[in-house]
Amino acid sequence: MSWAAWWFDGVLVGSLIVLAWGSVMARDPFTGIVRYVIFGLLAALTWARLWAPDLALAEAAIGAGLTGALLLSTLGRMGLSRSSGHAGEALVPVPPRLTGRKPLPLGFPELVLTLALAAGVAIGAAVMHLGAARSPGLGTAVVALLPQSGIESEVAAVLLDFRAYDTLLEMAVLLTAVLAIWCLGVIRFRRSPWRVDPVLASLARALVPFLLLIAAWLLQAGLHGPGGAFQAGAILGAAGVLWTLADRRALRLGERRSARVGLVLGLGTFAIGAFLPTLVGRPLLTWAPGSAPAWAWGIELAIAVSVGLSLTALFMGGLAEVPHIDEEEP
Amino acid sequence: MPNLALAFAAFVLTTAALGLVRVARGPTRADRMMAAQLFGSALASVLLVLSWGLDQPTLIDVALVFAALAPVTIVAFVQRAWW
Amino acid sequence: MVTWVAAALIAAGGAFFTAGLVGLLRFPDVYARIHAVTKADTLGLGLVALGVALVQPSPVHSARVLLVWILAALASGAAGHLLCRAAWLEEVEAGKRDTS
Repeated sequence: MSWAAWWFDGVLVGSLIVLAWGSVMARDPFTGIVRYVIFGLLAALTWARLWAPDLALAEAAIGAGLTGALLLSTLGRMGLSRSSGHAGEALVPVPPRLTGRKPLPLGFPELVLTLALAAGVAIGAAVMHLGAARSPGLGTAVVALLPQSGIESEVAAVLLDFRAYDTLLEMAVLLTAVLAIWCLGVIRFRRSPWRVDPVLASLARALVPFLLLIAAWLLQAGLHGPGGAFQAGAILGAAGVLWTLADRRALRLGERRSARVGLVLGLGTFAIGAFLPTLVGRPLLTWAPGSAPAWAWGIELAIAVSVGLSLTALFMGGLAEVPHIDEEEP
Repeated sequence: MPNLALAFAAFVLTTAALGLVRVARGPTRADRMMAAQLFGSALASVLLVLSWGLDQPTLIDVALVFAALAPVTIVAFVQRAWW
Repeated sequence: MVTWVAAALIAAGGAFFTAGLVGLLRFPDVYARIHAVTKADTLGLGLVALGVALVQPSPVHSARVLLVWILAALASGAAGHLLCRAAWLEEVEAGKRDTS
């Protein structure tokens, strides 16, 4: 490795460790959140550096957009101290131990950090020694079976053909999560105390179409390279989050039929595709020879829509109740 | 060629990492968010240069995602977590 | 030849990021710092994107790279405004050197 690569990797790894430490040990939650968001950005860069562009795309979409927004929204609802030092009123009861730091035994966090670093170095050295870093794993088997499947991208083939079962159940998990969140009931949001900013409205109006475009691009790119349904879905989720934040009216996802249909679209399409082969005597979840690319395309589209709506619903955090604009205008 | 790209990337990454001082110090929350914003743009440019130097065009898509989603965090901050 | 121009543009972009960092660390109050970082965002990323766009194999690829810049310019401009406006409405004092 060249000196430039050492410099780059060194700063990257060093920053990751410093940020992880700083995020957990931060004196106030907001600083911790900001450090965590930056950590997510660097994680995406790490994936890119490790030649894993699919992971980099997913991490960028979720870490850069969704995680930060979710954590900050939660912080706002907890009503913890503002930058000027006054405590706001919480919208939910906050247990006292979250607002103060219970002192840990002296040196305990540092000891844990040292042990973790030592373990990391030891594992890394062992992996390099065994040559496991250069072993392709199941990669050769996948490449050998690729022509049989018809899908061009190895990742897409694994996700939607060879291991489609995993993806099917992941969609079920996501839907269950949304339903569980909705069981929490109605959520109240505190509006920002000042008038809505026209720049914010314009930003949302300008950015959301771009985000839809990027999601569509990633969706179609996923079938023959890095990209795919989850990445596109994460971008759609970010677009939904942006729209929710910029618009004083809630998206009311729980009440609109089209939104409910969209939420089950991914799982539904996938399940139908899974059970269809049984009608003609083939086992569950077996694509007819040559039909895999067509199914992959359709299922990817459905999954992207569902994931996008699900992530927006998860961000909203409940069946939203935000007063209508006409009610609250002073 | 890859070396030069990595050198530039390391330089910009170091610059952004030094911005973490502001996260620790910045008296207002906006200061801390600004360091994150600087990081986002810096990493986007790092990805663009690496896509050229390491010949990986998909990194351009990652940079696109970075650039497009950085404001979402700031909007969430301004709308929900300022006060 | 094109490679040299691209490299020069990219280096200029890197210089703007350094300028942004110096501004972030050394400017006296929050408004000035927001201003510095927004400049670094738009110009730094813009110059780098321009440089990288010049060496792309086809105009379509160049357009994709320039889209990164357009989005970043749009987004960071609006973000800078939002932060400054929020600070202003919170009556953060301008011009007074704050604690760091």
